[in-house]
Amino acid sequence: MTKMIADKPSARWLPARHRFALSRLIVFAVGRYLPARMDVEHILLAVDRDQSAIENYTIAIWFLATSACYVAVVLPLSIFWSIVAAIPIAAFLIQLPLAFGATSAILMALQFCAAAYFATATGSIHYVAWLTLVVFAANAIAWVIDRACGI
Amino acid sequence: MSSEQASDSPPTRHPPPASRQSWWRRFLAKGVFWRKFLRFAAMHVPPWIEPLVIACWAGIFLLFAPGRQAVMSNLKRVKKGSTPLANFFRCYRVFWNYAWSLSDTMRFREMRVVPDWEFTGYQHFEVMQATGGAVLLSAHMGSYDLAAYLLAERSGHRVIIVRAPEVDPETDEYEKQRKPAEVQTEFNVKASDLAIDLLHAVRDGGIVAIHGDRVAANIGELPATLFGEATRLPAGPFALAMSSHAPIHPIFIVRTGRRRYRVVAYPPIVVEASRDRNAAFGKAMAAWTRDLEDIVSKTWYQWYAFVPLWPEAT
Repeated sequence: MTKMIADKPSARWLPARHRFALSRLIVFAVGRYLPARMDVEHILLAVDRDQSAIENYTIAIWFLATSACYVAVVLPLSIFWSIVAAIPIAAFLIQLPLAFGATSAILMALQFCAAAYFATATGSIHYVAWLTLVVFAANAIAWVIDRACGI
Repeated sequence: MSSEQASDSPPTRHPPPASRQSWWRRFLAKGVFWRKFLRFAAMHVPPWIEPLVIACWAGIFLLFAPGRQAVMSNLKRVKKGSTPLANFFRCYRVFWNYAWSLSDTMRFREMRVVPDWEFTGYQHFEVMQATGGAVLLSAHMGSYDLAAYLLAERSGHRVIIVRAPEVDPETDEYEKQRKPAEVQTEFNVKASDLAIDLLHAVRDGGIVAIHGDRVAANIGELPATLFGEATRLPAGPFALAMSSHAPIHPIFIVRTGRRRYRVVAYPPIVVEASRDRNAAFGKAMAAWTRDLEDIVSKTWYQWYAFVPLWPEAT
């Protein structure tokens, strides 16, 4: 059973409640300055690596937005219609590997491959791709720091 | 409920056995396919992509599942003067929250993933936990299954959930096979079948959890006024409280964010054991509808009432 912490709102910002090394490192550095109010009578916080709403929503939005950019580039439509069509298409394409049992690592590997491919492309899409590669690199560096510092 | 009791009871309007159902019925909104699909998704979808997956499927079910019109009809009563267009988008929010609640419940059942819990009205909740022997009256909101597990784990009392059987026989069979061990689940097929068992359970210190916001077929009902309009609500919890001399604890489970739920406990309702049963029931029902209105008006976006609550809306 998951470990629970009672009546300590600051536990909301525990690195252990985050999955990715980069977000673990960020909350470790700034967690003590983040708001931790006790605005209810009693709380029980689960210590689980997928518990952070901010982290999960951020990653989901980033993943969809980046994928939609790649889809928009390959669609043979005007910029406006490409963007409109790319969002639902990207949402569908992301879920396709899940139906075949793709794990978190496989999805991230696919995103990395797409970023590597579009990083060499011409036009503004290569900025999106490079940003993705920077995020992957930052997460890898954070992983090393997390391991070294025991975070 | 024993099998002998079941065989003695008069015939009720049950759906035909699974073997006689058309194969395609499993793909309807309440069919077993979607339960199995949800289980697969809960076990395989990475949590960080879950918001995207849930947003998509909540939209698909909003457009194609039959519950939309009922939710919109109920919202019209809750949000006075609201327009159908606004209620359509509100309905999406209800479906979105419902999808999250189902996902959280399934993740708990299959992987023991526990959400964060917050409590308001904790003193009432604590009294019920400490004393046991109570009727927990709730509504279809948040993840009531998850809350029952929490209660069973924390209170040490026997917790019995009374719920309506699934409409689809295959789904019903599937759910019965996957009943969790911590919480006893009874399917309320016929009002009189369970009454004695529940009475004994409450007298022995157990906590019987019942939904008091929707009347299912073959269930006793009482007249009530909800949001200023006449409706019918289940009579069972009040009859059980009167006969067992146990208090009714109105407790609601509200989803406040991703994997975060709030237990909202209101002061207990006492059903007086008097000769004038109608008056006693009426008083208790008035207290219950007051609490229900209060919580639903604040958290309408997660009131999972997928059937019309007001008769004229059917």
